Amino acid sequence: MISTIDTENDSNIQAIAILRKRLNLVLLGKQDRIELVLACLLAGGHLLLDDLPGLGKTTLAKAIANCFGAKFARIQCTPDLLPSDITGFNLFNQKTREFEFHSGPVFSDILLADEINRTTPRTQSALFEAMAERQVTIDGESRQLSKTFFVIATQNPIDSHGAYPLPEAQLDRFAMKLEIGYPDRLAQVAILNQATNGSLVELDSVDVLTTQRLESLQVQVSRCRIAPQLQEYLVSLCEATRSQESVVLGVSPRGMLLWQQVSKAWAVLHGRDFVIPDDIQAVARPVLRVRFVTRGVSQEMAIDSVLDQTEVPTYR
Amino acid sequence: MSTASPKFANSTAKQVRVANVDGVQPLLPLEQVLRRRVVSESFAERGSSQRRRIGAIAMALVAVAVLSFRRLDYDSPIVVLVESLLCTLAVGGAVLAMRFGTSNRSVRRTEVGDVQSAARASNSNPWVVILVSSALVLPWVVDRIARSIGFGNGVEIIMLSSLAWGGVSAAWVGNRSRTISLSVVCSGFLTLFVTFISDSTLATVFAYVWGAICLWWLVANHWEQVESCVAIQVKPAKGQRLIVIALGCIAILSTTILVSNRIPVLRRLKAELMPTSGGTGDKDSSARSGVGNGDALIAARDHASTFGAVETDLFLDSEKPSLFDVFSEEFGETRKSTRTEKAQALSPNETRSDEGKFAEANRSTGNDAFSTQRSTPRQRPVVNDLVSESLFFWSGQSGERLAVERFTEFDGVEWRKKSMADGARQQRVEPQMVEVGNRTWFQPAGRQIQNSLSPFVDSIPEAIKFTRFRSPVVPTRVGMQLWSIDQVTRADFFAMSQDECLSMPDREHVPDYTVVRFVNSQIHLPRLEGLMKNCSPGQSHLELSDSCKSTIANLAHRLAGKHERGLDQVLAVIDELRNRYTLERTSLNSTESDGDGSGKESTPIERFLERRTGPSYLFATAGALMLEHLGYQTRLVTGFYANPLHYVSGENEIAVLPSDAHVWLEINAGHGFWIPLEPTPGFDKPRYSASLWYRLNKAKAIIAVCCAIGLVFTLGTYFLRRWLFEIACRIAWPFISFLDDRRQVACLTRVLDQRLRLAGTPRQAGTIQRTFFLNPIRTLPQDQADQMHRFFNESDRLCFGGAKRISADGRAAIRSLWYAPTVNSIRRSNLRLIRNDH
Repeated sequence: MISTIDTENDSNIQAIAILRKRLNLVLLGKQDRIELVLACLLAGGHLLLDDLPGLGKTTLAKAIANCFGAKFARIQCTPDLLPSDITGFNLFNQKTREFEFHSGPVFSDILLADEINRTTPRTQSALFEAMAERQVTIDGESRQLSKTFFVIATQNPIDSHGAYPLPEAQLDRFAMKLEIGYPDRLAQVAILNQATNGSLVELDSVDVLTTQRLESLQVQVSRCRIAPQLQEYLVSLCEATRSQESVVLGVSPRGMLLWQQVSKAWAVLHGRDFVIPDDIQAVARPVLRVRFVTRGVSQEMAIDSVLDQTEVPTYR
Repeated sequence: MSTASPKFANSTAKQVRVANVDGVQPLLPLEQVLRRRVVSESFAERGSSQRRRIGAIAMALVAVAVLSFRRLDYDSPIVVLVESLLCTLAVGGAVLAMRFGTSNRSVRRTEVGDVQSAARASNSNPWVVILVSSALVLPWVVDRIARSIGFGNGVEIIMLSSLAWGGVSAAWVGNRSRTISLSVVCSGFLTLFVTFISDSTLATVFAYVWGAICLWWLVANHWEQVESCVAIQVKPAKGQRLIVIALGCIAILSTTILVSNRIPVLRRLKAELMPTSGGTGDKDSSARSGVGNGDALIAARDHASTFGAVETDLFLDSEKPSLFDVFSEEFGETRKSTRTEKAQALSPNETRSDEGKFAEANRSTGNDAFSTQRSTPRQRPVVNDLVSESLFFWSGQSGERLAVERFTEFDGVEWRKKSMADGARQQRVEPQMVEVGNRTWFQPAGRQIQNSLSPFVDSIPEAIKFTRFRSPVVPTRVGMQLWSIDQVTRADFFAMSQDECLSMPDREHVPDYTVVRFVNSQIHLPRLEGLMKNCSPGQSHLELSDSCKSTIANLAHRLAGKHERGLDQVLAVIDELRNRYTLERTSLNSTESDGDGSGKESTPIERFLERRTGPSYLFATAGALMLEHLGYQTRLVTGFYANPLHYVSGENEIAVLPSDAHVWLEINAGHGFWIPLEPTPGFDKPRYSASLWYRLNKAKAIIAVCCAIGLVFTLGTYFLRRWLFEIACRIAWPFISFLDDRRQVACLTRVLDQRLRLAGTPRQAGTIQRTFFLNPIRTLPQDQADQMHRFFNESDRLCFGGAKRISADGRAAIRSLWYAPTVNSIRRSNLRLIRNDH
């Protein structure tokens, strides 16, 4: 790949390398998934992990938090979880005779909402404002969240009994949906070795970044250049999702914006300050998977069909 | 998927492998899946094979039926029936023998995959071979027996019959796919061939039935295969669709032309392709573009009557009131009284009081007032008479030559009529009278214009309307069968001279406003050619000077070229005259001294040959002389030319003016049939009727050469397309190198895309070029792969990254990639791609 990043961004390049290294040490054999997680993080989006239990979802979330020394919070979603359990609440202090705000887990940098489809829609919707606007409103008072607020929600695709599937409106707020999948044989042996040795010695040797660095990376992503013909291409792709007979729900303008942002992040991750068609196609599947509702055909087939039929901009 | 060919096993293996990697669902071991698949495919293949067989049998039986139907026209039904029964028994026996043999073997079958081998083994069953052979031989045996009892058939029909039963046997007994396909080809050939040679239109029904079954058979058996083969190329290959549509249209059109004579509906369609277009000339030779198909014109002509002046302006404009006018208030207007007159008749008081009332009353033109005083009719503008110079009006084909006089003898300067005794000259040949449809028609006595030898065919109604023709001769064209004038029923009214000119001998001229109707014929080209091929040499009636004779002889042989005696030779001479000589309206003096001062006088024909220009009579004379020299009997004809420029659209007629006087020649085609020839340029050639097939057949050499050239060119271009493209690229590079970076990149992108297309793997619209070319499995040479990387990176930076120009390395990569990878190297990498993929 061409290195077109300016010299002033060298530190950002180093930061990306550190991120890759740390995450790859934690989540073994999943380089491709880690790249997508990083793209989602740098794009400022939120991530939905749709996979079986025990595949390293929580580990991944914790590792990301550790990378930046960021504040990490976790919610185990259950049917009796209340919105205030997420956002926080005002409690009357008998001594001071005033209401005191007790912040919820949402006031963190990295939030892991485990098995989000187990909790009620009411509680699920409590995350709406936080995810979209990075703020929560409690008792009429809006409170800002962290600038690097990043939600990693997980859900279990099997055992849907008693689950509350996420509504499309909430799904649309996630930047992408990923399946981590089982690690390969070598990776599994490495996991066993790690468990035997006790702790990750190598991880200690890797630097820890700051949330300011993450902010800087996100700014760099937003400054990444995207050519007009590629924006046209994105629009064509989104329109194609809406016009397909097998697609019940296509990509919304919000989804289109997120797709562009993730493509930019992908370009930055690959050392470029401009987007190329490959970036858009590379992130298409995880981005579309979260907001695509199909009928009669699988999501993958519908996405392939959209990508195959829409003409890629050529060099002109 | 159940009907998929073994080819799909590879794709299935791939799916299984890919799915296994993803680990989405637990899968069966690959071998087990493939084994199950092979087993299910074997069963599916058996069902598909049965379907193929049934279709092929149905088509073969249709072929047998259409052949039998054809044979019933002239053959004994009993012979046909016996032959069919015996052959059916033979084929049926072969089927039973095959089944019996196969069922015995199938007991030992343990694997489904052995079906094919077991079935193939039945071919070695001697009974099957014997019975199938007997089905092929039986038609010959039956024919031999039939001959001995007075029936029998031609060898070719027996061959067809043998082929038909061979087709049935192949369809029923054959185990291989290609045997069944062969049966379909046999039955198709038989059905179409027999349909073509059959006289009955009902035979086409069999062709349609066969076509319908064949279509079903093709779709049922090959659709999936076709779909799977072309699916990858359907989208980008827009040109192929057009080619397929064009080829389909050509095939349909050709088939329609070929079979149209056998299908009444198509025959009618051919005759009246567009019923409102004004006709095609088949029904009405003078039909032109416009509304109506020519029938109305014929109807109007049949009811044509006198068209002299009936109502004139003079009659209507008379100032004297008629009795009708006295009671008609439309003639003139009531005189209006002026106010002064009213004032004189009435007292001033009454005038004032009654002024309005009187005025109203006098203005009334109703029944309450009637005045005998009339105003003078308004003078109408004097219309000048339109004077027509037309001698007569010809209602028929334009460009026809209407003969008035014919001359047979030429003395070098003048043409004369055939010299004969005065008695013979004055002898009148009265025509014969015939009654056709309550109308009296006349025909030339003692001669039938249409017979088996005659080149004249068809009957075309035409007419002449005389206006101011001052001659007793009625202009006629060759091929006249019948003529009539409204109420004339006396044969002595007409006379037919020896030179076949029709006249009214007792009259000074043909009466004005006379309508003479004709039933004329057309010249049939195939017959004319046949006639002229065998026509005997004519008798020369020409007297020429030796020098002129030698000139004519040389010229005649030169113009005739290498054509053999016949119409082609005649037309070659005439065409050369038309092409090499120019028309000059002014006549040449009868004799004139040569310009070389020798004092020798030259005749007009000699000057014409020398100057290559002259009036029409010299063209006709030169043509006649040359053809006479070549051994044809000719004569000169004077008359009129129905000039299309004088077409009167309202009446659908052609006005013939004195300026349309024309001279041409006629040639004796044999048996006394004279055919007009037009040697003068600028005048339409005589029309010959011939079927499209005949004309195509005549032009078959040219068509074959054109097709061969086209085919060679197309095939050459097709097979050498990759080389041609590379050559074109190399030629184009010097021009491309002058373009700016962005355009160079765009051009190379297109070139690479085109190379992919020519290599048989077109890039899909949604596939990125980089991804397509730099597929890790595609093993391009390392240097080319590096250049590709460099090119794509530089192009990305230029087109998407906002860079203004590309680096020198980028330009070097463009130059390098312009020459390589070539189409052939991409093809080789494609093969590796496919091999690795599988």
